[in-house]
Amino acid sequence: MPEIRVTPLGAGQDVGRSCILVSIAGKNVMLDCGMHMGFSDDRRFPDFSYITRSGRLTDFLDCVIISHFHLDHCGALPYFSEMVGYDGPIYMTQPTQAICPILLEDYRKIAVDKKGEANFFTSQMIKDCMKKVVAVHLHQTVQVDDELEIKAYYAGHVLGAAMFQIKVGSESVVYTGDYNMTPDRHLGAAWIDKCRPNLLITESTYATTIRDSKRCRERDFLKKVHETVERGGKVLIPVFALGRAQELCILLETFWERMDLKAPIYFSTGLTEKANHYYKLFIPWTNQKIRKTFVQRNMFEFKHVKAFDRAFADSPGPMVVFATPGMLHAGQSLQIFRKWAGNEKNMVIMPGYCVQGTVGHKILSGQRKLEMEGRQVLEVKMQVEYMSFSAHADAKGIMQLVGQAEPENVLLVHGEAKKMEFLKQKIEQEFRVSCYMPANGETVTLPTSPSIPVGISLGLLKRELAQGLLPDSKKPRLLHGTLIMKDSNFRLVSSEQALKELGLAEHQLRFTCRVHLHDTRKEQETAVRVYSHLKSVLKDHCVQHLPDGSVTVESILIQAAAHSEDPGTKVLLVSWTYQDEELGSYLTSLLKKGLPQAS
Amino acid sequence: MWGGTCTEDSAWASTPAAGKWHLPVYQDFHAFDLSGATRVLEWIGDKGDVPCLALKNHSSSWNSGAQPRGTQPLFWELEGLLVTCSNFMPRQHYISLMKKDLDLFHPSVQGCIPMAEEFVFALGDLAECLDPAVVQNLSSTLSQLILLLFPGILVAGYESLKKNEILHLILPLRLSVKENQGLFPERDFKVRHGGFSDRSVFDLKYVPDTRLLVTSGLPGCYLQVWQVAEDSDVIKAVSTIDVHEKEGRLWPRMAIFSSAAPGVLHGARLSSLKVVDLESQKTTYSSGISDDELLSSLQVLDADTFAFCCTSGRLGLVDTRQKWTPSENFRPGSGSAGGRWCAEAGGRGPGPSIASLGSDGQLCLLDPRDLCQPVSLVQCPVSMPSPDPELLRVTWAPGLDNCLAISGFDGTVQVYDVTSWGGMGRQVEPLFTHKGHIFLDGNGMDTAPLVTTHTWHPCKPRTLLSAASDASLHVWDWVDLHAAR
Repeated sequence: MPEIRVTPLGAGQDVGRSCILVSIAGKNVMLDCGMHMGFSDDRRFPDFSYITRSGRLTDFLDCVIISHFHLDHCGALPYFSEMVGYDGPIYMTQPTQAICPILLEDYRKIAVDKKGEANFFTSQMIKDCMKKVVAVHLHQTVQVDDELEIKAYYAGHVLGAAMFQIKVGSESVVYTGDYNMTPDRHLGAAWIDKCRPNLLITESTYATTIRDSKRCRERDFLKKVHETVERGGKVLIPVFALGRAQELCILLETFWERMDLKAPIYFSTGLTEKANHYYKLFIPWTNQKIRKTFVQRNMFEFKHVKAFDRAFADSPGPMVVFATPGMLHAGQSLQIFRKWAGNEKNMVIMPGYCVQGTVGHKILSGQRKLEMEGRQVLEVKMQVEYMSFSAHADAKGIMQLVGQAEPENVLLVHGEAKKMEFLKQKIEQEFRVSCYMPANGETVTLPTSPSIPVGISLGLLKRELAQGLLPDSKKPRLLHGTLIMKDSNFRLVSSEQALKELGLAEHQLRFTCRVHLHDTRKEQETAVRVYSHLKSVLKDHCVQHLPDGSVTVESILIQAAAHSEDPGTKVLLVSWTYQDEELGSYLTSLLKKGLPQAS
Repeated sequence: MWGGTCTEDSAWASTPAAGKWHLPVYQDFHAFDLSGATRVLEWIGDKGDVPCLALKNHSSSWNSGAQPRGTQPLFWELEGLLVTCSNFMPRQHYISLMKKDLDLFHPSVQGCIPMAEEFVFALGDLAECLDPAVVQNLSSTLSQLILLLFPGILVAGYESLKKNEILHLILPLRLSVKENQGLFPERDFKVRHGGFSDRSVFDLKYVPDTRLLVTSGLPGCYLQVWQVAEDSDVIKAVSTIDVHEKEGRLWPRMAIFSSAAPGVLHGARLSSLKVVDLESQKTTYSSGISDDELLSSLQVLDADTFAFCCTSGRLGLVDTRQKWTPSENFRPGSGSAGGRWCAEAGGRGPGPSIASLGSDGQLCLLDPRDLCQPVSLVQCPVSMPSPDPELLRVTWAPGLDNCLAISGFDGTVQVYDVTSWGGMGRQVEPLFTHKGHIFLDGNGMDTAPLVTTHTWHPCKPRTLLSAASDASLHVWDWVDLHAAR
């Protein structure tokens, strides 16, 4: 029996270090290779020893697929390929390929320079690792080898995020990575066709969450920015070059336009160029509105958002500044933060997560006195806000995607499975599929029923069609024929053709039954009575009285004969073929009840 | 797009000062989409006793070893993290997280309560550019803690011919604490438990101090008892309580007598009123009268008394220790023929504490000591009589004096201050009208949804929750703009 085996090495009943092994029809694929941001020891990376036990990684794995550039999905890649050792192909979308090394380098700097970690991957390793990457386009079927093929679908979430279909022969698995079913200001919603995979592996970060509406989230953000600017304060928003920064810029731009606000909005210079570059490059990955208007106007070239200059930080009056990096650990955002922190009128809004050890993490933890370089103590008087704008599917979105793809089985990863019994029941009830939630290192085995292609003869189909009733794609229909298995070839043909091909004679199977009737009249008269009775009862059937005195109903023959001993009794001989068993037995039971008295 | 036009946003709140921009109208505003419309918004946890989380000031550090004064602090040790919770002040729970270090518990690094340190990251919506991780062990154990501390709300679908969900939702931290100090990234509801009902759920009651829920609905005239599982997130049907009622369209109203042996008060008519012990299923009280007037609401007032309201507006207080001799009010007001009524007791502050609401927008206030004569009868500005009187709701604010909210006429919830009301037949104006259910969707074309129910937050005095027929659920704060001026 063929089967699909799935073993999460990371992200099984857990969020972080996504890494899932899939064995499908003898092919081994690794989905994502992420790191856990909550740990700085061995638990940071997935436990690859699970694979290395069985030999070299390159021999074992047919390919690695990375769903998007977030570090919990690609953070362990250089470690995996360069330090553990993997030389096979790594597939990802083009935006992911472009952005992922930048984030890896950023993270490496924090880990090594800020936290002083040893035994971390180097810049060179990131470069070497990226050389093994093969870029894929959306909806492009990539042949990994003769049998294994993969295909990317749009996932929303972040620029370049994709869901992947992995297919070998007739068996397939879909891995969603992280996805978002509601469109953003700059990204569209995830979409997949009705590909009916054997298994859908879906993230479930927000599976038990009912999300507050985007509008309320945005309203809060705008309210905070607006209030600060109104009272003459400065707002600092530390961001990463790509991701929510664009979302928030579009949001503020629209708000400024509508409210006719005059306070300037600035964007770190490096940021604008980089972002514009990427978004121009990857415009097909943004949402419809942005794509449509792109020809006349680049949505990422803002009217109110201007390039930032270092000197602006000291100018008086309110302003809003987007600056990199997002965790306030270095660079421009940290410089501006140091300048503005002392004034309680100002505000810093952290739109995302910060790693331990960074200034961002410290202020979010409520720390108000920060030790800077040179034993300088910085007192933070400015307001600190934390606004999260992540784009994951919630319970409703997950149900939507399952409905779209129509899988045979569902497997949940990237979430807390312990508390998801209800969701499991919901999926099983609504879609009548099995739902699994393996822990890390636990293997789920799914038997798949092999699909066997059968050729149907044209004659048989034509005959079926001639019987009227055009085929209805939504309803199964019964078709009779003879299955011929020859040379590992399966064909369905009409029974006549089968007989001819195999040189067999046709045999008939007939049933015969005697029914005794009390009737003193002659046989011929009995036959007439039987005929008129059946004619009146079986209105939908063809009842005939033949010249030889016998009666037929369709192909069923009824003959009346005299009883050899009792002249007052007549015997009805009913005979029918195996094919007419239903009608035949109905007729006998009908005749056994007797005939109505002649009036 | 967000907001659409300015007029749309300002229209969310109907105030005389409908200025150009009305962001400050709501202090807080959250909108959720449920999988089905709910008529149930039942707080889980005893209303008066839902612990409010108070954050200890960052600057005042708490010596390790020194215990806070107050009665019996609670301790949990979770994965090397000590959590203490004490009711230091009446109705306020102090919570502290400390890290275990060398077998001694120290307040963690920055002082005492760096809420963000563990809590926010454990609960947090952490996915941004770096989509980070939740510390696994911490989050699973902390969610137990959340169940203990944070108010939850039960919702349930009421669609017929369909499986309806019963959900136990946990409110996010920022909607649980009294003072919103910022730094709570989490603003989503979490499904803590869920179950499926084959019937539509018209009413649901939580039995305090147990893991039991009771629902009433159609079809079939019986009450369903549910149990919230301890070891999983499932709500399971456990037993049923039969109700004798011949008419198939009627469903029993209910209320819970919570005590050592909790009982369900239920009935569709005055004549069928009963109290059934939940455990033994024995009837401990029945009205024993033949009056078969239809009931619209039931409310337990204390260990022995309950209030009822009939659809006709007749209401009364009943002592279960005595034979049926309720103090009653038969006619809610003059000239209110034909309307249907519902009522709630429990107004805070001086003045009448029972309010009853008619389907044509009449609001009647009564003093429980003298039900015969209403204190006041006023007309609320509703555009038309309630299209579905089953959805009429009147609720007293638990944290404000003389304040109540009504819904069930259209897509709005109106908040009133009843302090200066007196006499009969006056027209009154609401302090605040919540119109979010009409405007948040932004598609003015469709018929506006009908508010199906609303409830007050048990410990945030100006916060309400409201649900509508389009399966939306809003949590909002209102501001008294008259007082602000």
